[in-house]
Amino acid sequence: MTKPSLAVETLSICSGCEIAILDLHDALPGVLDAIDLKYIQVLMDFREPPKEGVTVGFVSGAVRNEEQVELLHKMRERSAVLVAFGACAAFGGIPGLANLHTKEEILKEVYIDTKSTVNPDGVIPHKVVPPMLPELHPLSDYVKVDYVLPGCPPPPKLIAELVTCLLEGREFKLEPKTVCDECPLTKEEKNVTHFYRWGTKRIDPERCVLEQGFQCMGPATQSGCEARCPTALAPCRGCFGPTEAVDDQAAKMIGAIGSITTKDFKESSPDQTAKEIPDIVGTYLRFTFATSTFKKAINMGTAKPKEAART
Amino acid sequence: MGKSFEPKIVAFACRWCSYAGADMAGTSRMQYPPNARIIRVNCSGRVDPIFVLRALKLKADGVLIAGCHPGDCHYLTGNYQTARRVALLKEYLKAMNLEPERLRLAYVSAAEGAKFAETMKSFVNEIKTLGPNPLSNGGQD
Ligand code: SF4
Ligand code: SF4
Ligand code: SF4
Ligand code: FES
Repeated sequence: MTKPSLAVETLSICSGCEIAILDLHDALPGVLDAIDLKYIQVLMDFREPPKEGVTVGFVSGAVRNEEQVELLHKMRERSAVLVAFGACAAFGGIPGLANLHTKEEILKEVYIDTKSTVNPDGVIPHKVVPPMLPELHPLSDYVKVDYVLPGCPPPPKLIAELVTCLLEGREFKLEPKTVCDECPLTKEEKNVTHFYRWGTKRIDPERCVLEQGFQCMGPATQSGCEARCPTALAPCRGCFGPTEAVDDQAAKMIGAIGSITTKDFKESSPDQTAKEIPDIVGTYLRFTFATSTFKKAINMGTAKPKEAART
Repeated sequence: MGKSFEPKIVAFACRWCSYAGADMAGTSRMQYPPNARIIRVNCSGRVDPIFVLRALKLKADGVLIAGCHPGDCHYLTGNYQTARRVALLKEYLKAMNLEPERLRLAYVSAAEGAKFAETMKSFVNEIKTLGPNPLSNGGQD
């Protein structure tokens, strides 16, 4: 029997996801024994996935330009099983926050307005580089995704687990639990009066950091990372995206904040709480803005930009 | 648009107070604009933030949450929780370029039929000044 084959395509990425694959370390030779790695640009000099197709295709990164739409469709056609690899591919990830601005605003900021830019003619790159889409999209806006491997980047242990499941023909599924469910810190207080910026106050290493007034996304985030951030006493940023039961991490967090804060207005008013949590989108939708309720800020401009190509 | 604009309002009303207040406004034949679809909830604290976001995403022009006065919640603290959620939701709406005034929290007791009618009137007027939800008009979907 021929070995199952794997191709890895990279779209709009930071490369962290590819490094996470290399980070399999000791498990990597085993994976390479069992799988025929056909295409991965960080390791091999091929320009596209093999024409004859592969058993499994990983796609990391989000879709931000027209070329990436084509690359994604090519991967879908050539992969029997397609995996959205990492937060960017699955939910748009951090680059999805760019959906707070229009494409025109972004290009102007980057190529004209930034202080370090010298561009007296105000030229926006338009030759050779593929045209940018009006907004950033997760893979599922264009193609059917068979499995989602969340995380920014996905933890190596989970990558190995997914590969094993695929090799053994088993379903890969994350348990319907939140990061809080796996978190070792002690939860007790439901009477938080104030919220603080991370690093501005001493923390108690035993207690839930959210209940100590820091923004931890544990209640709104799918488990699977073994609560690696709160275990290291850093707040969860939400990189595993929402659980199946939640469709907007910010809505879930806003609900949670209501539940854990003090139950009168004596020590803190609602407006005060809102002031203490200054960046709702950047805090609560850091990885999932492109798949949240609105997906992008509403464009108040006159022209309705044309829809991204969908086939 | 202009003068023919009749806002679509989704109103969540707590059964222990505001919903009864709305009933009272009705039975006492008080006049108030018919723009709201009133949804009865067991407590204003039952209004999950996602309800508000979905209503606006589905092009409601405004969302009203009406609950018991502070200190009077049947479940003691539901309305305090809601007040904090509403403050945060308004910030969320601002980031989406939606006017925060499209979401309003009001305290109306079961005895305050007139206040319910007043609240409806002033909310409908405010939304009329704001105009339609930008998702239904001009803004991209
Ligand atoms: S999910 Fe994280 S690690 Fe992977 S490409 Fe996106 S930003 Fe980089
Ligand atoms: S909110 Fe954060 S720190 Fe608290 S229990 Fe959940 S994951 Fe742990
Ligand atoms: S704790 Fe949260 S931010 Fe950290 S890896 Fe897990 S899901 Fe991602
Ligand atoms: S019971 Fe009316 S607001 Fe809680």
